[in-house]
Amino acid sequence: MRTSTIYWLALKFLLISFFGKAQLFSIEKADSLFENRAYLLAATEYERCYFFIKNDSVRFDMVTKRANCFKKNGDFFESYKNLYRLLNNELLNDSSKAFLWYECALNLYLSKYYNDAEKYCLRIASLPISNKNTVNANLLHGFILNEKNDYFQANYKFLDFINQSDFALEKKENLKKIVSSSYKKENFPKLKSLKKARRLSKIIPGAGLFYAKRHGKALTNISLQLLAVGYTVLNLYLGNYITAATVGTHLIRLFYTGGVNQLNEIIPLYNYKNSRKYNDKFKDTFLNELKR
Amino acid sequence: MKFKVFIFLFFLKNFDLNAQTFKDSIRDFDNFNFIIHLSKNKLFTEAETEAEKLFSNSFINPLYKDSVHYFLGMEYYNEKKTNEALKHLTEVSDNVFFYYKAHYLAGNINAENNKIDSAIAIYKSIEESTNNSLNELNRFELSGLYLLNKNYQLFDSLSKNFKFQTPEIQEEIQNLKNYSIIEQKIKRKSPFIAGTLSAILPGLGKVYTGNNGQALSSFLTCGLFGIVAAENYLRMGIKHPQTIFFSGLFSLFYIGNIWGSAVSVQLVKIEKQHENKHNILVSIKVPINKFFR
Repeated sequence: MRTSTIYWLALKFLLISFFGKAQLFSIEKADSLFENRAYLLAATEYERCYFFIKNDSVRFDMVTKRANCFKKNGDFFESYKNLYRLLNNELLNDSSKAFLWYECALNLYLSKYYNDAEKYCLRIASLPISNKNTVNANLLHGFILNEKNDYFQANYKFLDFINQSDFALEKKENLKKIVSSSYKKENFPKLKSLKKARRLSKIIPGAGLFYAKRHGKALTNISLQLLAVGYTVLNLYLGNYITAATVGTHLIRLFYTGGVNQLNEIIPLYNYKNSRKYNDKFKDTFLNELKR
Repeated sequence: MKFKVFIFLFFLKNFDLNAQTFKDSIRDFDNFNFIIHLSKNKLFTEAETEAEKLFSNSFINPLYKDSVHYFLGMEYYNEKKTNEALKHLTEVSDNVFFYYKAHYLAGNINAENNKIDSAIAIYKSIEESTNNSLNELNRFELSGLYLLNKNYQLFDSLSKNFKFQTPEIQEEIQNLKNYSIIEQKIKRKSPFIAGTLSAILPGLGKVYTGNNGQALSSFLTCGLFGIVAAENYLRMGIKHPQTIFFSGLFSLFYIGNIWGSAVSVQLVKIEKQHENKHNILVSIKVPINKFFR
């Protein structure tokens, strides 16, 4: 019975190739599931079509539609993973590449992988074609740069997008106004430099925390450091040299490095809060104008 | 030509392939292929759903069922999803030639998950094969599992009283015998001695258990707090709060070190047992991988 498996499978192969295949897949069925918002079932049906159809361009469509199912379902990274399957196809033309890379960048942006998303935008920029995807890639790149707090470059990307788009002149002017009013240096969110904050705290204990506008923490840190120094000096005065050299110096070092190291968390949090407000406001205004 | 047509029709008749069953048969085959495609692409949730659909057909050829369980189990196994792999691999029936591989791997997964009794039950349930090497492999795996279960009598009866002929097993059985000796040699050192040594000189108990790094660390910490406490006592007297504080801190570290040394005796034993167990698990896994490459 065990050895019969091979023969049985071989026989199946022979018979099936002889009689042809039964139609197991249906693009219409997958499309109808998608339209009925049964995205996960539609994704499986598209995968089935991808598996059984041998035509490369249809297979390409099936995977992109499947990726779209995951995107609609809110699983952006799964959507990216599906699109990634198509990236190694050497037969892709430039417009297919632009479409694929744009979708990859968009899904990665929505999954908050901004650095990876930017790589795809840069790839699109290197293509010698111009179409809807390459134009939209500028917009996406702008939003990505906003998230990375690179507002100068983001400004150029938004202007590139407006100039390359085929909107009416009035709409273009409105969009340009939004960009020019938002991207004035005085309107940028006030971000703090971690490097500068650390340097300040190293030179004057607690100064980095004042710079990060955490006055309470700064005063506490300074007080603790002063207490540690005072304790060490007192022990030196009393002649407890070993206590001063070990416990005293250890306490000073502990509070000093603690004051510097807590900036690693405080500064990014401060920057995130400030930039979030600015980025969201700009995105809403810009996209609302685009939709009009 | 007529003769060929007749032969063909006879062939069809013999296989009882009326139009409907043949269509079903093709559909099952295509569904089976699709499930394999899904599992190879690690789309496990979808593969499971499709497999359930396929199995819901009561007229399905059992070979499809076995094949799906095997391929899904193997993909899960490669992805280190051992619970799912186990579930599928144990479902493979002895109607297929990959039954042995599936069940040996299932047993191995159980052994790695510390379910030695389940692993033994799986190996015992594997049927005798006409292939002598497979029977030897079974005996070898069981002996390894008895060793993991610390059942030295059964281990000896399987490993020492039987002469293994397969080269892959010969090497590993020797390793198992060595691990058996090591396992029996791992003895618990005395926590009392470790504690006493640490009381005489902080860190000495850790040296006794074999943790030289920890010993140095304990010695320096206790020594430092001891010196600070002594300095405070000499300069400011026993009643000064700083003396009391540092004496308390020193006492805490000193007693903690004695306690730690006593506890580390047991920990060291467990660590050595874990290491030996890991070696045994590797030894019983190697022949399976070599056999079913």
